[in-house]
Amino acid sequence: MTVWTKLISMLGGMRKRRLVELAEEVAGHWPHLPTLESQIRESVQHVEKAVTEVCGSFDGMVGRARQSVAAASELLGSDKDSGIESLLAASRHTLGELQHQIERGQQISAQVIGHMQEMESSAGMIVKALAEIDRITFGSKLVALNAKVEAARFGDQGGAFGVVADEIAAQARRSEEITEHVVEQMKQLRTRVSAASRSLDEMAHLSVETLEASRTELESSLSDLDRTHSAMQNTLAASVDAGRQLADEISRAVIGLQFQDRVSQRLTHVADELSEMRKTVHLPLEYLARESPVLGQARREQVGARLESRYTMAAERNVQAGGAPAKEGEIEGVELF
Amino acid sequence: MARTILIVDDSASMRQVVAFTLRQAGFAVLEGANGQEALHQLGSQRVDLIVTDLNMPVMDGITLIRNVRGKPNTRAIPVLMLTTESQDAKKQEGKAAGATGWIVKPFHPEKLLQTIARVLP
Repeated sequence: MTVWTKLISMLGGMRKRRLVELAEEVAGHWPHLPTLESQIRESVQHVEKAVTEVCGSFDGMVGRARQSVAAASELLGSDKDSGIESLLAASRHTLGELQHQIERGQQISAQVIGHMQEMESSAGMIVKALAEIDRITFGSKLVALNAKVEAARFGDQGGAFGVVADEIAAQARRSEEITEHVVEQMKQLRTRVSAASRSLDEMAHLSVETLEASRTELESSLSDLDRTHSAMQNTLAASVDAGRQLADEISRAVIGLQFQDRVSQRLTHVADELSEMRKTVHLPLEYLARESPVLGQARREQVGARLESRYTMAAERNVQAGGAPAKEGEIEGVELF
Repeated sequence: MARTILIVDDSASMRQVVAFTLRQAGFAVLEGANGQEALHQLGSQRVDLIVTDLNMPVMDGITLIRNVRGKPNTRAIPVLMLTTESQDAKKQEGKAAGATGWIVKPFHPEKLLQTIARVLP
């Protein structure tokens, strides 16, 4: 006779009945303990996996936010020499240089125009001088004609004198031809110099006008760029502030996420103890089950029905029915009605 | 070059939470799920500081610290305990084993970083 048989046989009617009731109660709940333990351990794993994934996502979010802010900072010239600020400064410097060069070109053009006007004036004086030479040539021709007349009056004695007169007349004609040619050339020269001077003057004025127009347009564009840049800098500053706030919020979330570790530990302790209980109490239960094969059956079915009625998830019902636990991260499908 | 911190915890989510905090502060991070894995990491990697849990399967945090303090090449590495355990007796046990400090979970990221800054060589 075992210790349990002796113990029960020693008990009186009322106490014996009470013990049997308790045994019924325990035997009714007992078969469900492995399921409950399994549910607890499965939940711990799911929560841990979820928290791990959330943390991984935080890591990615913060990393990408930092990359974006760094890229924007570089673009906006926080890094000096590489952004829009330095580009604006370079554009203004180039514009200043261009203006200086064009002003210098204008000065040189004015000097050249001055020189050309002097040339034109000199050419005019040369033409006047040539007119004087022309008058002198005309005088020489008159002298030659008079000499010829005088030579003819002296007959043979004036022959040599007539040869000299012919030679003077020939030289005068030659001089006249050259003078006419030079005068013609000088007139053309004056015309060309005058035209070049006008063209240069127009070009100089055109350059100044074009420069003024381009400068105004460029200054307007640079001002627009300046305003856009300022707006972008303000946006960036707001983004940096938002990034800091995000980091603070994530820090608070990180503190909050640690609840999982504490909860997991507590639930694991409960599950471990359930497991220990099953190990230690199974001997008397096995004995009672042998003594009365139907012990606790009605209560077991009652507890099972109650648990099943409380479960809302398919995963819970699977475990209750002795099926495999749901796969981690499994999302149930959509059902349209 | 970034300082390297070894995180030892059997909870993957806690390792992730601590690693996130440390990486955001610019540290390089190594991980181990228990004391034995941590010792394996220490055998092949240069580590500036260890943050370890207390209760872990295979090898717990106290045993890990004793091993670390027992080896010439790891003896000087600071070791911070990061655990839900807050009993004085356990703290004294950790201190006696050679722990540099004791932080109770849940931790505040800023406080963890400040503590690390104080104990890093």
